[in-house]
Amino acid sequence: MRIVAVTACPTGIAHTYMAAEKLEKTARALGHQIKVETQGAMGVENELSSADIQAADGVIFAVDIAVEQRERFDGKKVVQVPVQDAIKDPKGVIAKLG
Amino acid sequence: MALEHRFIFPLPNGLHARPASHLEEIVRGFTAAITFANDRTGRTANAKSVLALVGTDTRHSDPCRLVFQGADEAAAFSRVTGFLSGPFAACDEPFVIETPASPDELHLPRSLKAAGLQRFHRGTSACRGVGQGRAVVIGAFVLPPTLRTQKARDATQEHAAFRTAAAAVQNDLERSLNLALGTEAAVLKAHLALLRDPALAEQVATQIGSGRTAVQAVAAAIEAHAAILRQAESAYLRERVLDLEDIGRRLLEKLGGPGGSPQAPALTEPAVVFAETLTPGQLLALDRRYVRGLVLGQAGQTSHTIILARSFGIPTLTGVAQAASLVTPGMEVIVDANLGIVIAEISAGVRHWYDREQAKLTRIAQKQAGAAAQPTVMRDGRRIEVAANISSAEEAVTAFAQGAEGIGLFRTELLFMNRSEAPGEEAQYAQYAAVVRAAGGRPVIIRTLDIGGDKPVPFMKFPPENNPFLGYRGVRFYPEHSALVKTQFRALLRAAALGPLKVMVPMVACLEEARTAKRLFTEAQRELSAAGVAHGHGVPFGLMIEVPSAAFILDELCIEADFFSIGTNDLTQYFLAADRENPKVASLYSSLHPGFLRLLRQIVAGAKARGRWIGLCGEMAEDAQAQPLLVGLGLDEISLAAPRIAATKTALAQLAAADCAALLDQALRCATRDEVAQLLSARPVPAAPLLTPELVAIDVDCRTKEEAIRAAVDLLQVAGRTTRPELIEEEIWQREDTYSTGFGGGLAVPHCKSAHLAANTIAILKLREGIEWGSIDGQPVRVAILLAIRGDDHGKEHLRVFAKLSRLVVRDEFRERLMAETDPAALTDFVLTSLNS
Repeated sequence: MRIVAVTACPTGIAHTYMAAEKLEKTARALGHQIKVETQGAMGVENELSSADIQAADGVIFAVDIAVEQRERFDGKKVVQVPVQDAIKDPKGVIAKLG
Repeated sequence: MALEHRFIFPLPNGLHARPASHLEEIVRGFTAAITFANDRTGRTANAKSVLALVGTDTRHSDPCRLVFQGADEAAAFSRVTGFLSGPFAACDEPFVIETPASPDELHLPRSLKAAGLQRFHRGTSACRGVGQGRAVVIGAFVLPPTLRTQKARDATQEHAAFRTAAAAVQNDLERSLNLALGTEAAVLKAHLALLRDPALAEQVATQIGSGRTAVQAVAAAIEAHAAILRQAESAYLRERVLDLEDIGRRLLEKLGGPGGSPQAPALTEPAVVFAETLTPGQLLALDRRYVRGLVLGQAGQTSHTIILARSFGIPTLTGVAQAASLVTPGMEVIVDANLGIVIAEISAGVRHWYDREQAKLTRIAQKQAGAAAQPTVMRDGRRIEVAANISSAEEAVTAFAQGAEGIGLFRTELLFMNRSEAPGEEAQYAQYAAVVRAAGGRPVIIRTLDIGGDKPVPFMKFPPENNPFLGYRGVRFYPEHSALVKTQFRALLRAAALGPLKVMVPMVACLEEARTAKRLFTEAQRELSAAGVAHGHGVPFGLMIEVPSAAFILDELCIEADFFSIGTNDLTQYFLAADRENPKVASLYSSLHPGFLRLLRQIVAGAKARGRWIGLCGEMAEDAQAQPLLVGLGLDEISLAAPRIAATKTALAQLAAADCAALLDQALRCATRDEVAQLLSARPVPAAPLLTPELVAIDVDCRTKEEAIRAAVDLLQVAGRTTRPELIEEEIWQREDTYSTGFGGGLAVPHCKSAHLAANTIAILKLREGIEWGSIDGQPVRVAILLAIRGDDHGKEHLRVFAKLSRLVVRDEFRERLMAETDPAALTDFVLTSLNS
């Protein structure tokens, strides 16, 4: 499966990156392809292109705040969870993509 | 015919007791009537009365007049105007006023509230620190009824009683003054001036004349003057009431015998003193070994009581409502003048909290004392000596306590001012010897007399000059007053037998002057040897470089001089032909002028080429922006005001001499002062390391999340990363309140963005036992990693590091090593290496 994800937490210092790390590690271990965009204190990094988004089979938002440029994902089915869920149970979050 | 002098009042704190007593000393000897008039307040005063002068309520920039009338009015006029335009400005020192925490920005740490803090009172911090002890209450003075209603004896007897009492108090004060140093001495001197004040004596005499006892007369006179002061607009003057009451108290004690006024309680154990008002005398009478804190109802930031409390480092709160009735004497209390509270009910939790707080403050104090005591070593191992400028022997002790590595300039003018004759060799020797002894083997440079038209002294008749700065001053009058100069040289040479003392001569513009001074110096040496008087041998003889011409004959001056010190204040104004006191040209006065920097380079290079030691004294040394240039010049020493030394040493330790030399090269190529300033402000400040072993604590005994967060913040404070731990603590909690930073696996990453950080910082706390943190997996936390980022840091580099760390901590192998490692240095190394991989 090709997955794209966005992580974002209130201060953008810690949880954004923890969640990104967990999602990446877990998805690859499960044999999926994944690209995670972080929206933290440094701004948007590893930005998802429209091609990335178009090609994705599933979209995960692990966020506690609004996603920047949300319109990029219009028409896509999105699984949205709190950041903490992606840190605590990344496997469970990925499973939600069905 | 009267003479009148109009002027704008120059002193920032107004005409308070200290400058008033200086002025009074100057005018005392003249028979002419000298009246001080303030055209803003419309008040006038006899300039020979300190109280009357203070009562004019004169503030900075007030339009004022002095009127001289009488036989010696011309002499008085020239003397006083000379004094006003010169040394008067130095009569007052700027007060270090701590910014009081206003109640609405009072932040009590959440950890302290969680520890069970309940009953406490707020106040304004006047001297920071924390103290604990038993409450001692000192009540306000009230004249006992028996004395209030007592019938007066014969007026002659009452007058005599007052005179005896006044003489006895004067005697007491003078005796204390002999033993006192620094601030304490200054306060006692101000009290002596009040006691001698004719206005006070007149008022007492009038009261006795109208049938009162000496006791009642003193009480009334003190009250009358206090009433004038209380109405003053300047808070500083209002606070002089305490000084006046103090004199009154001492007088009444002498007049009424024991019991006439409340005795200072004898302290036998650590005590916190509560009082509505506390006079300086009452504070001095307390046994300071036991005074752990002061809680006062009224006392301003500039009252002498507070100035003394600061110089003794006693944690002090003021503005505490009903201070004297808050506590029962004997109960245990804690004064926290850092947070601005006094705690009257101490629970076990609060006691525990303060035990840790005290331990932390002790660690910080030891660290600072250690750092201040260290020599200044730059990053590349190069040394530069940081010395102090002083103008009295008393300041030397304080200067060394503040980290001075030597005395770079002892200006001796003050020893000669305000006297009717020159101080003798013995009196001078005592002062110089005191400085050399205080130095304990560290170098001391003492500059010989630099008086002249701009700094008049009464016993030397200098003709009035149109332009005293270009006039008869410094070494220029040495040939005419060779006896005076030789006396000073002899006193200096004798003191040099006690330790490394160097002698320096001011205002040298040509070789002949250097030779003349050197000849007098050599003669003084010969005289001492001939008389068999012990003195130093091979005492270094140096010249102050403050006249531009000296820079261009340095080779020749090296023949006479063993060392040099650059006096940048005068050198800048002479070189740029601009008087910084003149607002129209003050902007031209700048030590960062490229021409001036090139001059400095020429001087230092000239001295170094001949192997001469060279230092720099003057305000340029205090300019943090200019300091890298001074290092770049290759100076052996810089000398500055003592309170700036600790900060300067810390800043210099961050520099590398090679970088500074490169920076100087660039500055020397600049065309304008603005280019130099731009170059300096663009200089990258070397970042403090994110994590050091000092920021790692192992086996920490905390029971709650509140305690653990506080312990982590304490690490930041001890490492010098913040001075406002209570605010950082609150910021971390605001983040925790959104949701817990415990992300599972026994780890937590509390974090904050804060404006109260000196540098971006990581701190690691390894807890002895797991703590409930509200983690997402419900497991207790064993390791907390605090990430603290400066609020104004928009640089991505550090954010990237924090992002990297956040990714690392969710990896099992990183977490396992973090849990297993117990050595702070190894843990620091591991984390930093992982971050850079």
